Amino acid sequence: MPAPSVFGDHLHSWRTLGVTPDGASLVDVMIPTYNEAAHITQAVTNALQVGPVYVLDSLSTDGTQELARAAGATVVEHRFENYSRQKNWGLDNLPMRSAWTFILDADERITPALRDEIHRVARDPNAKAGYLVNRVVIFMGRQIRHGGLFPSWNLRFFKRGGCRYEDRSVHEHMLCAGETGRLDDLMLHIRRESISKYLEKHIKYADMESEEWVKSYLGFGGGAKAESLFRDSLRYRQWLRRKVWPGLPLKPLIRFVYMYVFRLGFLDGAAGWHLSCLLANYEYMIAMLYRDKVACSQAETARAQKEAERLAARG
Amino acid sequence: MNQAHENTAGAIGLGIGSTVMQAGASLPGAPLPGASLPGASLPGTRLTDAERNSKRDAASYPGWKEPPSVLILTLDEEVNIAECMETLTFSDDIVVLDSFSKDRTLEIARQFPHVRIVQRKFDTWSQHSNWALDNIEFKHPWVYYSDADERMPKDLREEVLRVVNNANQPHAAYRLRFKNMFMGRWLRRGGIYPVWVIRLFKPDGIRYEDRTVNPHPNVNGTLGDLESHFIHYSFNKGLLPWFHKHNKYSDGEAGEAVKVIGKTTFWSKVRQLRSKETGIARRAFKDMSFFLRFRGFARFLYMYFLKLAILDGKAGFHYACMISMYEYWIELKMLEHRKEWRTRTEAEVLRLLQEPGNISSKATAHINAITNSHTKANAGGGGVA
Repeated sequence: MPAPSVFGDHLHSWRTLGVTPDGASLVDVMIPTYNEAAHITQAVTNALQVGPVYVLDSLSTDGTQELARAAGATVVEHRFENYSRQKNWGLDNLPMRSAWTFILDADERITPALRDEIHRVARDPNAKAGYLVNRVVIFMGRQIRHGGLFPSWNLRFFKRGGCRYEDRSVHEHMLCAGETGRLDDLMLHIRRESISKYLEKHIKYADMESEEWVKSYLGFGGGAKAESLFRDSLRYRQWLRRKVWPGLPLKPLIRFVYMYVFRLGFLDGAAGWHLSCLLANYEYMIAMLYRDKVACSQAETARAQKEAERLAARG
Repeated sequence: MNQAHENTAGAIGLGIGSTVMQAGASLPGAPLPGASLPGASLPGTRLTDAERNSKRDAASYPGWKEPPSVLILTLDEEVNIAECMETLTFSDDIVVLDSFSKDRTLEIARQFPHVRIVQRKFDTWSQHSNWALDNIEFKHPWVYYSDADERMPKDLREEVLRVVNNANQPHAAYRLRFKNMFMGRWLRRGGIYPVWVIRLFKPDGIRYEDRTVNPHPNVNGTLGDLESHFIHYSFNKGLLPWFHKHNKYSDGEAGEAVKVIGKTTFWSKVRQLRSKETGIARRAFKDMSFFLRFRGFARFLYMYFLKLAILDGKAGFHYACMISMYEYWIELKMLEHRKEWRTRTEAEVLRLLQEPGNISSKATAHINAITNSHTKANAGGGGVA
């Protein structure tokens, strides 16, 4: 049984809620982790209401593995390469047996209503191959319902083996073999880390995103092909994000005005203001890092050339 | 390669244990046969860039007899070291004091003539520099100190040679200003220029005070000014370290700000502004800024318009943006302390994870305990029941 919590007396288990008539589980939950000691116990406890939990750990150093095991999860460790490859490895290699898979991050929670909906869909013989799940961010003590951050649809719930991640190091997207649908109820995305940690993450992501821009600048980035662009809106947005957006001027300002004004971020109060500012900062860091990396790579070429000359001259 | 082990701990009383000195590929003080100019090559070999430079330098200022020795401190500077040394080849005694670089720094440094490489584990900036002054035997009476991300332009080189070869100059050390480069351009405005630093000295003329941050050299004698600038490329290793560093700095600043706001008022700081002691007045000015709203925006206006960063083109604009972003981070971290966002987030999560129509009395009590402890509780935060 999961660790006791303030909800211990009312906690439901997948064993009573999410089983087939012969007692097998309906849904497996995969939680990819790296150093999530602060979150993992609550995440596993929460996910155990849906189905058996598999924690796919990227060799954490803070004891995430032990905490996850203690909370009732099966833990498998695998060296991290990038997000999409790691998760694809998990989908291929974890000993998951149920017909359905749900992917949950350690800082996300499944609301009771969503849990019941998941079980309902998993029992439905006419269900589609995969489902997008809507996610609401909890930040600075409130739900963020505007600013373009809500609704946020993520393909997280699908028939086992039916979907995979596209190979991209950040902002990875899922590709699904069959038809996809949408679930009605909400998943929570908890942003309770300190601002310092939040910025650290933004800096790290900005670094990776700018790396993608450099790749596509040099002409060997992955990404949506033009012919498949208009098949669905997600691909269209990907194409905008990767091919059009990097070339625009004043990206941070555009991002801020878009979030705070056009997408009504101001309705979320101070949290909306600060989120818009932080994302403008993020946008700014990507652009600066991109510019910087291009300049650095040019300088590096020049340096190598000079060195070769120096060595040749010395014999 | 020659290796001489020597235990220097006792000799200089810094207590760091043994250090290793390595003589690099080129030995100091042994001019090549037949060469009268520093850096000149053997007849019959092709000239390297560096050697060409030093011939040209010698020609451009014919009066000089002796260059200064050069001291460069390095740690993982493969990006900078070659360009730095190319501007310093007019000296025939270049000492690279390396803190055990893990990249190609030393390999590149050895490609230059007249280079000695000394390795020592870095402890503090002042102890490291003092060790160098005490233990490295320089060939010449004057030493020009350079960081790897600094470059010496021609006008400075000539001025240094003039000073070093002037038997009547009265000073023990010289200070000079530098041009901070960003995005290929000198950031002249924005309130970061000029800063004077000591770079040219006689080894027994200065010692660094033992402080961890901002070590200040004590000059044993008088201090002169050089007119020329050196060039400082502080962003050469990329912007990523800058962002990470300023995330850390803003933690410290915000913590301090919260303390200041907790124990003083704005007006008491205004009164301190008139203090005769410069330290207190400057501190008071900084503390006053903690009471300011919209720090980031204010700093941008100050740097860009008041301090005229607008005249430095794109580089000035982006530098002002980056600094104001940093100020915004400080403000945000101050708010984080004051508003207890994290506790309120957890209360909201607990509320949303309640089983519908089946409310745990324990959980309700817990949520109420959290939300009621904040005067400005989120709307609906306590309204579970």
